Amino acid sequence: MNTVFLIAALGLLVSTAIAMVRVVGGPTVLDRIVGVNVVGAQTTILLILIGYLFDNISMFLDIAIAYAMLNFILAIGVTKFFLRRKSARGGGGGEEH
Amino acid sequence: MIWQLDLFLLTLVVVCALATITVRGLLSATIIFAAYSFLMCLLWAEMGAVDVAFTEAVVGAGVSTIFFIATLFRSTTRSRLLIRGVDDPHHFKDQGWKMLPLMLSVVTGMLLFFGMADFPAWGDPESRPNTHVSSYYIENAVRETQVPNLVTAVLGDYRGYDTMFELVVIYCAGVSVVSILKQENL
Repeated sequence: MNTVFLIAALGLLVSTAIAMVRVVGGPTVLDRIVGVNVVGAQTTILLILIGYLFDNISMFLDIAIAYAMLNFILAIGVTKFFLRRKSARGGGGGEEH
Repeated sequence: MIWQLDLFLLTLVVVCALATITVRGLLSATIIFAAYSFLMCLLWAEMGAVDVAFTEAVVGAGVSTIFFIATLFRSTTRSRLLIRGVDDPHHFKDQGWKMLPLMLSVVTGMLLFFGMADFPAWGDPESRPNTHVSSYYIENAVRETQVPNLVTAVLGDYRGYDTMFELVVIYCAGVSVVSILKQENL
Protein backbone atom coordinates (compact mmCIF):
# COMPACT_ATOMS: atom_id res chain seq x y z
CA MET A 1 0.00 0.00 0.00
CA ASN A 2 2.88 2.36 0.80
CA THR A 3 4.22 1.93 -2.73
CA VAL A 4 0.94 3.21 -4.13
CA PHE A 5 1.12 6.34 -1.98
CA LEU A 6 4.77 6.85 -2.83
CA ILE A 7 4.08 6.61 -6.56
CA ALA A 8 1.13 8.98 -6.21
CA ALA A 9 3.32 11.44 -4.29
CA LEU A 10 6.01 11.27 -6.94
CA GLY A 11 3.43 11.86 -9.67
CA LEU A 12 2.09 14.87 -7.80
CA LEU A 13 5.63 16.20 -7.43
CA VAL A 14 6.12 15.92 -11.19
CA SER A 15 2.98 17.99 -11.74
CA THR A 16 4.22 20.44 -9.09
CA ALA A 17 7.40 20.79 -11.13
CA ILE A 18 5.30 21.59 -14.19
CA ALA A 19 3.47 24.29 -12.23
CA MET A 20 6.83 25.58 -11.00
CA VAL A 21 7.80 26.27 -14.62
CA ARG A 22 5.04 28.90 -14.66
CA VAL A 23 6.06 30.24 -11.25
CA VAL A 24 9.72 30.66 -12.15
CA GLY A 25 9.42 31.66 -15.78
CA GLY A 26 5.95 33.22 -15.88
CA PRO A 27 5.93 36.37 -18.00
CA THR A 28 3.63 38.38 -15.70
CA VAL A 29 3.10 38.39 -11.96
CA LEU A 30 -0.44 37.06 -12.41
CA ASP A 31 0.97 33.88 -13.99
CA ARG A 32 3.18 33.43 -10.96
CA ILE A 33 0.28 33.95 -8.54
CA VAL A 34 -1.82 31.27 -10.22
CA GLY A 35 1.24 29.01 -10.36
CA VAL A 36 1.88 29.40 -6.63
CA ASN A 37 -1.76 28.66 -5.95
CA VAL A 38 -1.49 25.42 -7.91
CA VAL A 39 1.73 24.52 -6.07
CA GLY A 40 0.01 25.22 -2.75
CA ALA A 41 -2.98 23.05 -3.60
CA GLN A 42 -0.72 20.19 -4.66
CA THR A 43 1.43 20.46 -1.55
CA THR A 44 -1.72 20.19 0.58
CA ILE A 45 -2.46 16.82 -0.98
CA LEU A 46 1.19 15.84 -0.80
CA LEU A 47 1.19 16.49 2.94
CA ILE A 48 -1.70 14.08 3.40
CA LEU A 49 0.08 11.48 1.26
CA ILE A 50 3.22 11.91 3.41
CA GLY A 51 0.97 11.43 6.43
CA TYR A 52 -0.13 8.09 4.99
CA LEU A 53 3.51 7.17 4.35
CA PHE A 54 4.28 7.89 8.02
CA ASP A 55 1.11 6.08 9.21
CA ASN A 56 0.16 9.18 11.18
CA ILE A 57 -2.59 10.78 9.17
CA SER A 58 -4.27 12.72 12.01
CA MET A 59 -1.17 14.80 12.72
CA PHE A 60 -0.62 15.68 9.07
CA LEU A 61 -4.28 16.48 8.44
CA ASP A 62 -4.12 19.52 10.77
CA ILE A 63 -1.12 21.00 9.06
CA ALA A 64 -2.66 20.29 5.65
CA ILE A 65 -5.75 22.29 6.60
CA ALA A 66 -3.61 25.18 7.89
CA TYR A 67 -1.70 24.99 4.64
CA ALA A 68 -4.81 25.27 2.51
CA MET A 69 -5.92 28.27 4.55
CA LEU A 70 -2.55 29.99 4.13
CA ASN A 71 -2.68 29.40 0.40
CA PHE A 72 -6.03 31.17 0.36
CA ILE A 73 -4.77 34.08 2.48
CA LEU A 74 -1.75 34.45 0.22
CA ALA A 75 -3.93 34.67 -2.90
CA ILE A 76 -6.20 37.24 -1.23
CA GLY A 77 -3.24 39.34 -0.08
CA VAL A 78 -1.61 39.47 -3.47
CA THR A 79 -4.86 40.20 -5.33
CA LYS A 80 -5.64 43.01 -2.85
CA PHE A 81 -2.28 44.45 -3.72
CA PHE A 82 -3.26 44.42 -7.39
CA LEU A 83 -6.65 45.93 -6.68
CA ARG A 84 -5.14 48.91 -4.85
CA ARG A 85 -2.34 49.41 -7.32
CA LYS A 86 -4.81 49.42 -10.19
CA SER A 87 -7.07 51.98 -8.56
CA ALA A 88 -4.03 54.15 -7.81
CA ARG A 89 -2.68 54.13 -11.34
CA GLY A 90 -5.85 53.76 -13.34
CA GLY A 91 -5.28 50.28 -14.72
CA GLY A 92 -2.37 48.43 -16.26
CA GLY A 93 -1.08 46.86 -13.04
CA GLY A 94 -0.64 43.38 -14.47
CA GLU A 95 2.35 44.06 -16.69
CA GLU A 96 5.02 44.25 -14.02
CA HIS A 97 7.67 41.59 -14.24
CA MET B 1 12.90 10.18 5.26
CA ILE B 2 11.95 9.07 1.77
CA TRP B 3 14.86 9.70 -0.54
CA GLN B 4 12.85 9.82 -3.77
CA LEU B 5 10.69 12.66 -2.46
CA ASP B 6 13.76 14.25 -0.88
CA LEU B 7 15.67 14.48 -4.13
CA PHE B 8 12.74 15.95 -6.01
CA LEU B 9 11.83 18.45 -3.31
CA LEU B 10 15.41 19.65 -2.81
CA THR B 11 15.77 20.22 -6.56
CA LEU B 12 12.59 22.30 -6.61
CA VAL B 13 13.73 24.25 -3.51
CA VAL B 14 17.08 25.11 -5.12
CA VAL B 15 15.32 26.19 -8.33
CA CYS B 16 12.97 28.39 -6.28
CA ALA B 17 15.82 29.97 -4.31
CA LEU B 18 17.80 30.77 -7.47
CA ALA B 19 14.69 32.23 -9.13
CA THR B 20 14.00 34.41 -6.07
CA ILE B 21 17.38 36.12 -6.18
CA THR B 22 17.58 36.46 -9.96
CA VAL B 23 14.07 37.70 -10.78
CA ARG B 24 13.81 41.46 -11.28
CA GLY B 25 10.37 42.46 -9.97
CA LEU B 26 10.11 42.48 -6.19
CA LEU B 27 6.49 41.26 -6.18
CA SER B 28 7.52 38.30 -8.33
CA ALA B 29 10.37 37.59 -5.94
CA THR B 30 7.93 37.65 -3.02
CA ILE B 31 5.60 35.21 -4.73
CA ILE B 32 8.40 32.81 -5.66
CA PHE B 33 9.62 33.06 -2.07
CA ALA B 34 6.18 31.94 -0.91
CA ALA B 35 6.47 28.88 -3.18
CA TYR B 36 9.91 28.27 -1.65
CA SER B 37 8.39 28.35 1.83
CA PHE B 38 5.65 25.92 0.81
CA LEU B 39 8.25 23.48 -0.50
CA MET B 40 10.45 23.88 2.60
CA CYS B 41 7.42 23.11 4.74
CA LEU B 42 6.84 19.98 2.70
CA LEU B 43 10.48 19.02 3.22
CA TRP B 44 10.19 19.40 7.01
CA ALA B 45 6.97 17.39 7.08
CA GLU B 46 8.62 14.71 4.98
CA MET B 47 11.46 14.46 7.54
CA GLY B 48 8.87 13.91 10.29
CA ALA B 49 9.33 17.34 11.93
CA VAL B 50 5.68 18.30 11.74
CA ASP B 51 5.92 21.12 14.30
CA VAL B 52 8.73 22.80 12.36
CA ALA B 53 6.72 22.34 9.18
CA PHE B 54 3.75 24.03 10.81
CA THR B 55 5.88 26.99 11.91
CA GLU B 56 7.42 27.26 8.47
CA ALA B 57 3.98 27.25 6.83
CA VAL B 58 2.57 29.92 9.14
CA VAL B 59 5.61 32.19 9.44
CA GLY B 60 7.38 31.60 6.13
CA ALA B 61 4.53 31.25 3.69
CA GLY B 62 1.85 33.21 5.53
CA VAL B 63 3.05 36.06 7.71
CA SER B 64 6.31 37.03 6.03
CA THR B 65 4.71 37.04 2.57
CA ILE B 66 1.94 39.31 3.82
CA PHE B 67 4.58 41.56 5.45
CA PHE B 68 6.53 41.72 2.21
CA ILE B 69 3.39 42.64 0.28
CA ALA B 70 2.46 45.25 2.90
CA THR B 71 5.93 46.74 2.45
CA LEU B 72 5.51 46.79 -1.32
CA PHE B 73 2.22 48.66 -0.83
CA ARG B 74 4.21 51.57 0.57
CA SER B 75 7.14 51.47 -1.82
CA THR B 76 7.91 50.45 -5.38
CA THR B 77 7.84 46.97 -6.85
CA ARG B 78 10.92 47.62 -8.96
CA SER B 79 14.37 46.79 -7.69
CA ARG B 80 17.04 49.49 -7.88
CA LEU B 81 18.82 47.59 -10.62
CA LEU B 82 15.79 47.78 -12.90
CA ILE B 83 15.20 51.51 -12.38
CA ARG B 84 18.76 52.60 -13.11
CA GLY B 85 19.59 50.08 -15.79
CA VAL B 86 22.75 48.08 -16.18
CA ASP B 87 24.54 50.78 -18.26
CA ASP B 88 24.24 53.30 -15.43
CA PRO B 89 27.65 54.44 -14.08
CA HIS B 90 26.46 53.88 -10.49
CA HIS B 91 25.72 50.26 -11.33
CA PHE B 92 29.24 48.95 -10.87
CA LYS B 93 29.69 50.83 -7.61
CA ASP B 94 26.60 49.00 -6.33
CA GLN B 95 28.05 45.72 -7.57
CA GLY B 96 31.14 46.34 -5.44
CA TRP B 97 28.97 46.75 -2.37
CA LYS B 98 27.12 43.59 -3.21
CA MET B 99 30.33 41.57 -3.10
CA LEU B 100 30.56 41.95 0.69
CA PRO B 101 27.20 40.26 1.49
CA LEU B 102 27.99 37.60 -1.10
CA MET B 103 31.33 36.81 0.54
CA LEU B 104 29.70 36.80 3.98
CA SER B 105 27.01 34.37 2.82
CA VAL B 106 29.54 32.05 1.19
CA VAL B 107 31.80 32.04 4.27
CA THR B 108 28.83 31.44 6.61
CA GLY B 109 27.59 28.64 4.38
CA MET B 110 31.00 26.97 4.36
CA LEU B 111 31.23 27.23 8.15
CA LEU B 112 27.80 25.64 8.46
CA PHE B 113 28.91 22.83 6.15
CA PHE B 114 31.96 22.23 8.34
CA GLY B 115 29.74 22.18 11.41
CA MET B 116 27.43 19.69 9.72
CA ALA B 117 30.17 17.05 9.79
CA ASP B 118 29.79 16.78 13.57
CA PHE B 119 26.08 16.05 13.43
CA PRO B 120 24.85 12.56 14.23
CA ALA B 121 23.10 10.65 11.45
CA TRP B 122 19.44 11.51 10.88
CA GLY B 123 17.24 9.65 13.37
CA ASP B 124 20.22 7.95 15.01
CA PRO B 125 19.03 6.38 18.30
CA GLU B 126 22.62 6.34 19.63
CA SER B 127 23.17 10.08 19.22
CA ARG B 128 23.97 12.28 22.24
CA PRO B 129 20.55 13.97 22.65
CA ASN B 130 18.77 10.64 22.39
CA THR B 131 20.97 8.81 24.90
CA HIS B 132 21.57 11.50 27.52
CA VAL B 133 19.10 14.39 27.60
CA SER B 134 15.90 12.57 26.65
CA SER B 135 16.23 9.87 29.28
CA TYR B 136 17.01 12.52 31.89
CA TYR B 137 13.85 14.42 30.96
CA ILE B 138 11.72 11.29 31.02
CA GLU B 139 13.01 10.25 34.44
CA ASN B 140 13.07 13.61 36.22
CA ALA B 141 10.65 15.99 34.49
CA VAL B 142 7.60 15.35 36.65
CA ARG B 143 9.53 15.48 39.92
CA GLU B 144 11.48 18.64 39.04
CA THR B 145 8.84 20.74 37.26
CA GLN B 146 5.49 19.36 38.50
CA VAL B 147 4.16 19.56 34.92
CA PRO B 148 2.21 16.47 33.86
CA ASN B 149 2.88 16.98 30.12
CA LEU B 150 6.47 16.13 29.17
CA VAL B 151 6.54 18.33 26.07
CA THR B 152 5.30 21.32 28.06
CA ALA B 153 7.87 20.62 30.76
CA VAL B 154 10.72 20.62 28.24
CA LEU B 155 9.52 23.69 26.33
CA GLY B 156 8.37 25.75 29.31
CA ASP B 157 10.90 24.79 31.96
CA TYR B 158 14.10 23.25 30.63
CA ARG B 159 14.17 25.47 27.54
CA GLY B 160 12.53 28.42 29.27
CA TYR B 161 14.79 31.13 27.86
CA ASP B 162 14.53 29.63 24.40
CA THR B 163 10.72 29.65 24.46
CA MET B 164 10.28 32.89 26.41
CA PHE B 165 9.36 35.05 23.44
CA GLU B 166 7.15 32.37 21.93
CA LEU B 167 5.22 32.44 25.18
CA VAL B 168 4.96 36.24 24.84
CA VAL B 169 3.57 35.76 21.34
CA ILE B 170 1.05 33.21 22.57
CA TYR B 171 0.09 35.57 25.39
CA CYS B 172 -0.47 38.43 22.92
CA ALA B 173 -2.55 36.14 20.69
CA GLY B 174 -4.65 35.12 23.69
CA VAL B 175 -5.16 38.75 24.72
CA SER B 176 -6.25 39.74 21.21
CA VAL B 177 -8.64 36.78 20.97
CA VAL B 178 -10.20 37.75 24.31
CA SER B 179 -10.54 41.40 23.27
CA ILE B 180 -12.16 40.46 19.94
CA LEU B 181 -14.62 38.15 21.67
CA LYS B 182 -15.46 40.91 24.17
CA GLN B 183 -16.30 43.32 21.38
CA GLU B 184 -18.64 40.74 19.93
CA ASN B 185 -20.61 40.65 23.17
CA LEU B 186 -21.29 44.39 23.28
